[in-house]
Amino acid sequence: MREKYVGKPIPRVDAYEKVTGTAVYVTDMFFPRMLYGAVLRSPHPHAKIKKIDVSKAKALEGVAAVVTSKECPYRQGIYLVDRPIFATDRVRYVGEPVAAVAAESMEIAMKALELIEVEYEPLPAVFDPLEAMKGEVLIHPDLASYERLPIYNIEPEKNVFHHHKTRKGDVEKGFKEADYIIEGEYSLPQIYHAPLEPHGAIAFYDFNGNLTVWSSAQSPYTLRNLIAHAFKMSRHKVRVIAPYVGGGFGGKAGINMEGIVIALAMQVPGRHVKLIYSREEDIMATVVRQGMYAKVKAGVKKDGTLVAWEETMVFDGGAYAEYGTNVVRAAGYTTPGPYYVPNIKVDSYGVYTNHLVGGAFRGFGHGELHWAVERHMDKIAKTLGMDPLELRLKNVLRPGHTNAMGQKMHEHTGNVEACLKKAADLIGYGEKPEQPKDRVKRRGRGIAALVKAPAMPTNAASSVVIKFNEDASVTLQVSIQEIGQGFNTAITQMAADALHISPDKIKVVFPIDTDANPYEWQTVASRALWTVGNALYRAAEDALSQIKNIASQVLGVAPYNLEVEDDRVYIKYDPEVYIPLKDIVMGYTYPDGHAIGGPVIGRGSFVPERLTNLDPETGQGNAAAEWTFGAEAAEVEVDMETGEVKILKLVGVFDAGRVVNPMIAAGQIIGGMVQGMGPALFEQITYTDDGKPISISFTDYKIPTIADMPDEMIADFVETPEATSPFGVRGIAEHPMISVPPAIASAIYDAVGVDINDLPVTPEKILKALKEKHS
Amino acid sequence: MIPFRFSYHKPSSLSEAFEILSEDGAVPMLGGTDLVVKMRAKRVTPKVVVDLKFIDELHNVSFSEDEGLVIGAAVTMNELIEDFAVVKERFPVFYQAIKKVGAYQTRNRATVAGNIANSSPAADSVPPLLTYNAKVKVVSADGERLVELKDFFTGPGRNVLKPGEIIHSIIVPYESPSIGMYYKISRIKAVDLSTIGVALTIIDPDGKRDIRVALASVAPTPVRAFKAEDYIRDKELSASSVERFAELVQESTSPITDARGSKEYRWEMAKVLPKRILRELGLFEGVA
Repeated sequence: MREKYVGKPIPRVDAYEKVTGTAVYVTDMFFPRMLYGAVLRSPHPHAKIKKIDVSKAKALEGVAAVVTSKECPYRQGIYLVDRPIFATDRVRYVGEPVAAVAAESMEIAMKALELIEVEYEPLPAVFDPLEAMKGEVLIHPDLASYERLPIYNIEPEKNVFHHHKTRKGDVEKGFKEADYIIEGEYSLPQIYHAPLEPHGAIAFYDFNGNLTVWSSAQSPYTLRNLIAHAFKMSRHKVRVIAPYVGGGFGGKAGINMEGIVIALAMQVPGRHVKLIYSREEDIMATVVRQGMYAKVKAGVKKDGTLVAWEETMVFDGGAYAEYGTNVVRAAGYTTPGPYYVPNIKVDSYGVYTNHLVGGAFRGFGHGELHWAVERHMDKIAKTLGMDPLELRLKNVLRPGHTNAMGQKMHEHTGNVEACLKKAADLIGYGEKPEQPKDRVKRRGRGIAALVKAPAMPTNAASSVVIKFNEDASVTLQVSIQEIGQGFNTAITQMAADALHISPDKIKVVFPIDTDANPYEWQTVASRALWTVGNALYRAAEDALSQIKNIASQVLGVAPYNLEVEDDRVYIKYDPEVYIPLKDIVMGYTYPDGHAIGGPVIGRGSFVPERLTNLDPETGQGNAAAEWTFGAEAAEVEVDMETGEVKILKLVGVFDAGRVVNPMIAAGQIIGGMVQGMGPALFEQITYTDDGKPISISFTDYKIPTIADMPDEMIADFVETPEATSPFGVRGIAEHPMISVPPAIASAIYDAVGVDINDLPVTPEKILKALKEKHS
Repeated sequence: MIPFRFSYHKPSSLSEAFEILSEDGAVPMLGGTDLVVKMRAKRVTPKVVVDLKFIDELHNVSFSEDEGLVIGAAVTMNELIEDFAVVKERFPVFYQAIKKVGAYQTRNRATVAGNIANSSPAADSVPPLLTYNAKVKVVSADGERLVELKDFFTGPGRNVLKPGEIIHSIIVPYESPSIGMYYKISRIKAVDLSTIGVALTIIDPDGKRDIRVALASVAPTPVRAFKAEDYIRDKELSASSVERFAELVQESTSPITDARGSKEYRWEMAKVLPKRILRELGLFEGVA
């Protein structure tokens, strides 16, 4: 691909809208006679619903509709259809929707909620996934009857919604060959996405049975698909319009709270119903990242060579599986991360509990798996008396190796070794950090690697339509959502290079409207530039060939002797002979008035090539289309009297293939590293002993603020062009968050000699470990 | 949104305010940074909200060595520390603590009087005011009274204010130059409540050297460690005397476990932080 605009730090195309506050989000939208929705939620983590009486609420003046599972008996779910839109016979977590109202004002809606009477009978609940696997309390007694994709392996008697198995080589043989067998346990709690904009949607149902939904959605088409599936509607009757999304991080993928507002709208055809979640509802009743417990056993040679890796991962999936099914699968097939091990046995379990619902979260299982893998690599290094970086470099995946699912690594797959070396260099690894004069404060450095591929169906499709306008400007239609990642800017740069025109002449159609924009699977999995880039390349080739075909007739030369550049199409061997592009793109009109050709519309579609499902017993196959490697490093200062940790410096280096916009990519990395700091040090969903969530507002769910920023953050790249992308690109969106916690934990060990294996690494845990060490 | 109906008034004089405050279910409001949050969560459901910040008289700030610093109830924290250099110069520990309250945006609205009236054990502005022997001027339709800040709090969210009474101003006596530090441990560095906050103020550091300590988030109310202060008065700051002093500070606390930290951690920090502050002020060499 000829590059003129790719690789340049072009300012964001949405910058003016965003900084002036004119960008429109769902919450900004109002319609005439609009009704306001509100939701009644379960106060119990697990209870039978004995009776719901909505008569008083219905009788309240200003109430237009009240909905329960009686009116809306549907379930939803992307891979496993397990989540009722309204709880039916039982509630399974605190915050689960039980009923909803639509009223003339928010105030009336809130008042109506108080008038709904629900009688519950509390059931025994289970909060620890290991406990849940004993099956004494069954959260989904009917799990076996739920509709699901066949690639997911349920174990209903153990509350397991997916058990993923990886079997590569022979681990028992590997352990026999090993000089050391090293075991460890690692865990992390549920965490919350904390997007600036909480979830919100508006629904409108007309008298022809057409449904329109405006939603803060990462996946307009998948949302449409899941709505139509849950409500048993034809796809063409459902229209999703997705304006700007104020942060998604996975939490706004697929379907979420939309079903509630749709159910209300269906009761009041002809009227819009709006439902915007409060922060408390957003934390409690959308999705959170799953908690995880992992047990690792690694076999290692004296020289540090890994020969066997056995691991059990148990995910706390909460009350419903959501994307968790695929999180569990992705973590299962990616472990042990960026390292080559000939013998691997991994069991990854997704387990129902009566906690908040787990779902997709930036990193999609990889933050979890790398916490266990990278902490364990440090433990192996310590046991062997080897430098942790040296151990990693010895074992990284290199061309010719196979990964856990048996895929062969090539030169073009990416270079984790280069990422590690660059990150080490940028953090000053190997030199001792200068220590503060205050002897109670000690500094240290740590490093961790990572790898992640898009976790997606084998046929996750993309498409692009390029429409030329009368003046040879271009409108680009695509259904990837701009969720802050800078997609609309990067795809403009790529389209400019693919079409050989200036980015000023290109507009990406926004907001996304499924009635108008072409199909796109989802804005998830760090795959947009890679997958849409392929579709775009084909659409651009299609448009250019139409232009050349028309020009070929006018100029009397073969299409292959023509070139398009900026505002003209010219003869390659005689560039002074040309036709202005604007005279071609609506068809060419001869001086005598007769015309040929027609409006130029380029079309490109793409599905990943050569992907397969995995063998259910061994997990071997070809499930990942492209792998992005990276390495992250941290320098910290630990206060040995208070246990407080100050992060002085963070470094992230990723093999992006090709960096399309260095400014936006660096922003993506810095944002991701900051999002990794939170779970490293303080973020967690906390519960009372009886399962009620505590941290459901920003009073107790803390995320980093500007005051917590490190003194220095460095984003850098390695560029090994991706062979499966015409632009050479691969994803980097989720990756920067992934290995920040293990890099920080490693730096804390380097500083004060204690290992914390349970996130978050709080001052209390550090002090306790220091005391144990000194006693 | 606030999910219930209430009426909102903004009186322009105290007498008008007293009249409205006498209505059933009336509460006073200043910045609203605590009250509005509680109303949104329906933890308080007043029928009448009386906004006091349109009363001119409550916006006064004055300072003289004889009268001390007088802070009108409606003065925002940012106005106080940005417009009145005397706060930083004469009451440095108070200044530091205000900077630790919420975020800058919070302090654009929040007031010291509100922080006191809210009576949270975690109120950051309170421990330093305790060390400066602050007093609260309380007014009502029946007159006025002066309450020592140390006697103001009666429990978490509770205080000696009677219905119809409001805080008029805070009076911080000026004794002599002081140095000191407010050390706050919290989960994140801003927009967080303290896990523990320790104010250590040394009045007249080059003369009589009176060390005073007060703490937040370690007892049902902010507490001042009088016993520790009495112990260390006129003593050399040696390893053993500071150790004993820190123990006595610790003994003045009765922490509990909550979402921000455990009882054990708070107990330990109640001893660690007074020593830490003395060390960071350069008054004591030892390392624990």
